[in-house]
Amino acid sequence: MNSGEPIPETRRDSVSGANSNFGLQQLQRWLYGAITGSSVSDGDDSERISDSVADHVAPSHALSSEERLEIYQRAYVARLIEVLREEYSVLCRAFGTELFDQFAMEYLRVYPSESYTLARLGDRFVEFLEATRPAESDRMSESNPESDENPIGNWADFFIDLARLEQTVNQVFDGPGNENLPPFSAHDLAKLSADDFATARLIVAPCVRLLETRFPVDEYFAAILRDERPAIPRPDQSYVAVSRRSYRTERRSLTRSQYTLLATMQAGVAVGDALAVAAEMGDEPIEKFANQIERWFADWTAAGFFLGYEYEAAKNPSQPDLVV
Amino acid sequence: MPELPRDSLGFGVGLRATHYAHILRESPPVDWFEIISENYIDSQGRPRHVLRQIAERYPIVMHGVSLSIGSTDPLDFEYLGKLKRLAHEIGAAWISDHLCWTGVAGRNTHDLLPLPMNDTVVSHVIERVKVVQDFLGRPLILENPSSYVTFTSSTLSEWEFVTRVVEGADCGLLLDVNNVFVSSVNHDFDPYEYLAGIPHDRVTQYHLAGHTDCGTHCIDTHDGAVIDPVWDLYRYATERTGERSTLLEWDANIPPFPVVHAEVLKARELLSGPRRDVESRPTPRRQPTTHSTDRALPHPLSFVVSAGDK
Repeated sequence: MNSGEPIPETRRDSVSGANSNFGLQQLQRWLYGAITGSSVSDGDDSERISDSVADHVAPSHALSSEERLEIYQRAYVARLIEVLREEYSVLCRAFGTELFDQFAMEYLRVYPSESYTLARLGDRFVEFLEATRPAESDRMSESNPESDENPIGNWADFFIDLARLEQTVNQVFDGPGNENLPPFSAHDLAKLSADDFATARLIVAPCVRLLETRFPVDEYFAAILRDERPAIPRPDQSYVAVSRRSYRTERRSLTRSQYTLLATMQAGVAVGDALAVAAEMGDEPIEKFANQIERWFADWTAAGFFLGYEYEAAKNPSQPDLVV
Repeated sequence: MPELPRDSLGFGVGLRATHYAHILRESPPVDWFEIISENYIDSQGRPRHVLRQIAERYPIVMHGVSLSIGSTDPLDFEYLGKLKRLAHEIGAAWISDHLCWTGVAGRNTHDLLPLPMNDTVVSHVIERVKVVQDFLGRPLILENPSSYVTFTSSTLSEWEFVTRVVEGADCGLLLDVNNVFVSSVNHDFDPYEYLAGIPHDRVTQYHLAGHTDCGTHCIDTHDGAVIDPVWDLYRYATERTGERSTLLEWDANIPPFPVVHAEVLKARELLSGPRRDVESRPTPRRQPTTHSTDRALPHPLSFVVSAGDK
């Protein structure tokens, strides 16, 4: 509990009603199972109640007990699939509705909702897709009809990457942002001496999320949003930053050097050390890399990637000097 | 404990994401908005940002779908704490939810499931409502949901059940007259007997909405205009309660904001018209839907998608 509100001691037990409402609890467990097809039995057969619908649900003049229950059964699947289709609307268009719904139905069976909010319904969808990807043996034996170079396992990688990107965009959309924090500008950054810049740790905004993907899914994602019907691209290690500015999500493709630099700074490494890592692990000549650094930092700062900076602890061992 | 809100806020509309831009741009002369609480209590992005702006211009009522007041699971105090914080932040006029349960054993169906209506369940719900009200420091307003099954273990009519709960818990009633109509068809009761039987002085708010008549039953789809028999019920009820805050819900096939607003303003016209004999009970008429009802889904769904912002 993080509300800071006390729970009345005398009511801690009574609010559950687990003992005084045994019959209601059993009925609710039965109805939940009957509607969703997922049992929540605690395994004690002596506590089970009849499985007969007619024993619990009365008929109406027009419908039998079973027909009335079916209204809830149909609605449960339909409404939750509708939510997943909206949450993963790009993935749904990539899959096609029929295939997407098959995955969604199985996902709901494996991971039924345990949250009060539908915003969390698809939290484990990417994890589910990873877990249900074709086995390695299938990957090698089946192939993409349009390209022998794309074994079916690679197709799975593509859809998983696409789902990860879409999930990240959704999380950034409604997660913590920097809109209500003091702006940090390129001008603030320019005040630092070269030495201070090298030893400063830039504080990356919480709405900046960095993704490394096996396919160039960002381009595909953008094409789907433009209502195009792009072909599945060939594998190509790709990097993308998802961020938010003025409550609007933004995506920008990154080079490996940019991704490495940002990810290293995001991990709390000082700018100078992060630059060294990026120069070594990046994908471009060191001279070109060096020539672009200033522009990169200006662009990222303007995009709201940074909240401020703090100096290396060694400069002020008693207390880091946070500047925002 | 503060008293039940008595003054009418007027004629409001359910706040939906598709209307954000229109509302912010035009500041339409709507009396108040009702939000689906779950769409905002965790938001740290645009939905909450928009809500804060709208709350500066209009009264806001928080309407939840996940309290699960009738469940046998423990109450979720983290959820309640979030409700309380948001209500404080936006100055919510009141907080409402449904007389139902949504899940058990930690699982959530995200549906408004009916309760067996008997003495045991009345006591169970009253106890939980009192805890919630103590925690929130304000009265809870409970809505009668539409339902599609009744239970063999029920011994009370729905209006008796509602009355026992709201009077026993000393809470308010959000009377959804469309739900009364839908349930009266599904459960073969007289909706006027229902409206005559509830405690009129506890009605804090009305809900109006459209539904889908599937022939053998009705589904509370919130996808169209209010039908005349539901307007008749609204008139009959308000003649007993006096004018109360009235809100239109429209959650599927949502038209432009002016269309939704115009629909709820019919209620104002209706209430300003000549009063009828208070005993007048028009015969409820059905309006079976001609289109396919395969996709008729009960509402509200509580979900704000980021589509368009991706």
